[in-house]
Amino acid sequence: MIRSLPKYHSLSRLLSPPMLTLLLAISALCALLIGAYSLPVQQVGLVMGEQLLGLEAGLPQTLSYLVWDIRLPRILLSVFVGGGLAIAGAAVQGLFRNPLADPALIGVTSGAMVFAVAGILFSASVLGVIGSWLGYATVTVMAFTGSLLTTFLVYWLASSKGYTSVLTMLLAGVAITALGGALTGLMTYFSDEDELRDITFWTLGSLGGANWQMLALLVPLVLLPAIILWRQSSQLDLLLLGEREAAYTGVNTQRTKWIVIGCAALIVGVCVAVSGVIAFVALVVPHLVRLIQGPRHRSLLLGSALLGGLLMVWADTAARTLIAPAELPIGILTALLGAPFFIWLLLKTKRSL
Amino acid sequence: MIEANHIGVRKSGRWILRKADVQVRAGELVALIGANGAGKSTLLKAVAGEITPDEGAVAINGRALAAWPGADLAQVRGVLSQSVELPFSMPVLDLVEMGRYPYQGQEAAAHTKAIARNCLQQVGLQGYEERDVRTLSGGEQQRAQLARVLAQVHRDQPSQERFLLLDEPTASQDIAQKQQLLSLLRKLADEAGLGILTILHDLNLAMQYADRVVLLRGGHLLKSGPPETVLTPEGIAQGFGVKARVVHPPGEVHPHILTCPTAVGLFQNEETAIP
Repeated sequence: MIRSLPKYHSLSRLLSPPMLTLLLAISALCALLIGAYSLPVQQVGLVMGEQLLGLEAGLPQTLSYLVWDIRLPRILLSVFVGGGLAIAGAAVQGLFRNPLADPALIGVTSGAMVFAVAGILFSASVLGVIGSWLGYATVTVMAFTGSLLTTFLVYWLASSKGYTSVLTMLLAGVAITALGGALTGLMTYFSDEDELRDITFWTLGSLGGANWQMLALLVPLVLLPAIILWRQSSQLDLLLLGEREAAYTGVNTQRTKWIVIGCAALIVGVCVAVSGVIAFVALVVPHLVRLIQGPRHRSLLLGSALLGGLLMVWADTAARTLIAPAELPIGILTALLGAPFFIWLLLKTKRSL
Repeated sequence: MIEANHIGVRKSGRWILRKADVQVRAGELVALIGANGAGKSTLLKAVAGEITPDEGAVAINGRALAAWPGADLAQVRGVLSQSVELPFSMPVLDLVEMGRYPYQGQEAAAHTKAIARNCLQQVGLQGYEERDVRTLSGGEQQRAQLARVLAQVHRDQPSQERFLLLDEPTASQDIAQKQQLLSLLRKLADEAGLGILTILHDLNLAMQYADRVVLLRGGHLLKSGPPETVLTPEGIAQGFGVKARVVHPPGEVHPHILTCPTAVGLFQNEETAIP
């Protein structure tokens, strides 16, 4: 690690927040052009001009629909879901003092999923509002409740006196995921065909349902807790030393813990509600950023949010183009890439388990 | 001044500490000594505020511990635990800077860095700024943590009395480093006016450096006072069950304590709890 520190610094310049923001903007633009139908950059520019500046370019309706109503919301959704999951993962890893604490691995995503599926069934059968704003809201509230409950449950199970047992944490995750799978299975068993298709597609994880209504709900509910988390950076730094040392240094540990759990659960809940289960983003991204920028949360959280958004844009672009015109569920893609990484990380930290 | 009066702590129904008094004034180095299980750590934790005593009360600068807002308390008293593990790699300088948390938003980043560098220098870790904390030896890590705690109570113009509470800071230091560390603590007490309460195992270090020694046994305060009056053969026999001689070599300032191996029996399972 001593030898790798200089390397740390040269890469850290490359992956600095302004640089990442620039890369993110370029990636988003590229993603607008790439797809089952490739679009030339001028046409995309004209559509943007039409929509944003009110220009009259006389473009075909379908083109403007494709760019403005299909691809753009989807890219923005990727940015916010990827960034949100990564920042939540980074904060939770800080709180648990462990690099393996991915919300998906410790059962939080699964908890959100059970509640969200219940929300889908409820809004479909009782409210009859699936796919509408109210439908999203119901599912979101349910997913948030689920993620909050499970985060608290795992934290309570795995920690004593401010120190978290990794083993208990991961085992709690296994147990909760198993329970979540069973409950979700039970609900799908009793659902009708349309609901079943909705649920199945959604549990695999997809950003395909993106639309502006969804974004209107997602953006503030990701951005606000993310900013609150970022403002807890110094407190999270000190929590790395353990709750006792943090308290000795003047951190209100109970307050910080609740803020982090609440905000991370909200972000994960909202992301699960709109995009289903997208695992490993929250694990891989903070780990990479930590390797490059170190574990101080001020840079870690910001870097994770940006890199998470960046990776998700490309992952989703790959998901919708690799087997075009069909689509690969993005949850499957991130799992295919993330699971080997997790195994590698596990091998690396084996001794400390 | 730290005043801990009549501290009693109960653990699952048994008193593990009872009627312990300890005072630490500014500029004073007080050593907390006693056999393992005597209640040293418990007393230190009660003074630090980690344990709320079942009996008695702790006050710092005339204000009850519970009445201090967290960040204000952190500015006047730093605590060094026995071992602190970092879950991630981090440069030493970052760790020390984290000690400045209670002053967040009140000082420039450059100032924080300067203080951190200065504290590293005090503990003899200059040149270690960019090293990864987790690659340091146990003793170096302990000193890096001490530097963090020093940074925490550092003040350019102190407005209040400040204190350090240390749990065996010499634990993983070699014999030279032990002396250096205690010299540093002595200097901090004399020059910076810090009041220091530290657990020590080495009776000779306590004899050499402490202003006062507090000897605990079985959760009770046995004796307290200047080292020469507490660390007598009788005191050591009572406190540790060990026969010892206190000799005063000519030309030395402080007496030396020699424990006699012949008097030490096998390990005995002694009941230390108080009825």
